[in-house]
Amino acid sequence: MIESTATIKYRGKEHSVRANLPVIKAVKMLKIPLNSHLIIRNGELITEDELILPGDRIEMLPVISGG
Amino acid sequence: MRCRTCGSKAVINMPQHRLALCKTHFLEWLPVQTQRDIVKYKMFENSDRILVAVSGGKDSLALWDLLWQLGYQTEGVYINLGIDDGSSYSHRSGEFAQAFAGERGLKLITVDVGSEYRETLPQMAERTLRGREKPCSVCGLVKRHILNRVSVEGGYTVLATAHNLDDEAAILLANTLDWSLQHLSRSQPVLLSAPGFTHKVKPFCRVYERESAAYSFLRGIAYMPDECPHSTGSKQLYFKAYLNDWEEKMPGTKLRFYNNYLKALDCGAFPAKQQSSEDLSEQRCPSCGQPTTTGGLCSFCLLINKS
Repeated sequence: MIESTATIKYRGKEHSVRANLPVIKAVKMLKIPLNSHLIIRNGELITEDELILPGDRIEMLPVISGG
Repeated sequence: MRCRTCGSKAVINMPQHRLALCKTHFLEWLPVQTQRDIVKYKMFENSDRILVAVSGGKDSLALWDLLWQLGYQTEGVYINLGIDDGSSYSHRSGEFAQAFAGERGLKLITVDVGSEYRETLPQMAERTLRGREKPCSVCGLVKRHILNRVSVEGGYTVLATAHNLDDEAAILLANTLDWSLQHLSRSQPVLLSAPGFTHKVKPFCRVYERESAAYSFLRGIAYMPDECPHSTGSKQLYFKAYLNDWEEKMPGTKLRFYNNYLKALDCGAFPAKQQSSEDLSEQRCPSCGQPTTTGGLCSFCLLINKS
């Protein structure tokens, strides 16, 4: 059976999302602020327009630090 | 999305610049942009000895790597603040800084606050009213003092910090809300040297935090991923979140805010650029010898001598 979902890891939690959507749509659905994160798919940096592929493991890497 | 330079698959989209780039061209683009600002703001030249303040985080290691790649003479300084309760935060941060320097054969100076001043930063913060309310403000005071001391004692001609555009925009926003004119004048890219002070520069002042993070990631730089445990709920993070929200709706907001601030600075909108440094050069702390406006012990010596 072909897997039709993927996961997005954000703040330590894994969220299951539908495949074949652009990353930006899934990120907006999860209310993740895009410009304070990098999108890493299978260890590679990608842009937000990329389609999520079945079985993808995407990590939202935070970039904001401060104190 | 395609790389504007070569047409291959882009790895980063930067709506603020209307630019998407592949890995190769992003890693070429960021050093070019940084070098342009180094020249534009007369930060330093090839003959300068640059001390880079490193925390073990993504921005400072990205800056050191980039300056090293550009061929500048750089050495690093890491301040071990002793923030280790349960988290080993300082210890682990120091390990990232040491590994970075070791892999590239670069010199790293480590200052251990607990050993040198008989108290760690959390102990200093806990002991003072200022620190209990705002540990980050005590941290800033301690770091500024030590960085200036190490750079002056070591004969470095330049002290480089990795303040990025998000840092500067957040500080500007906070100081604008307070109408703090004296503090507003300090967000400039260069704080010129005065007697007792090293020439301080911020080569990443117009680099988005997301860009410096992408640089670190793409260069394979191992950095401390965790946030300082004291930064939770900090005002700076609060302002950064607001600015990023505006940036999402209006790309380029942070850059326009900072660029227009620089224009206002040139038009004389804030106190003269050198005023504070000139005032400071007149008086010296009787304990440490660093410039001060207090007329007695400087703020740092007052902090460490207060029982």
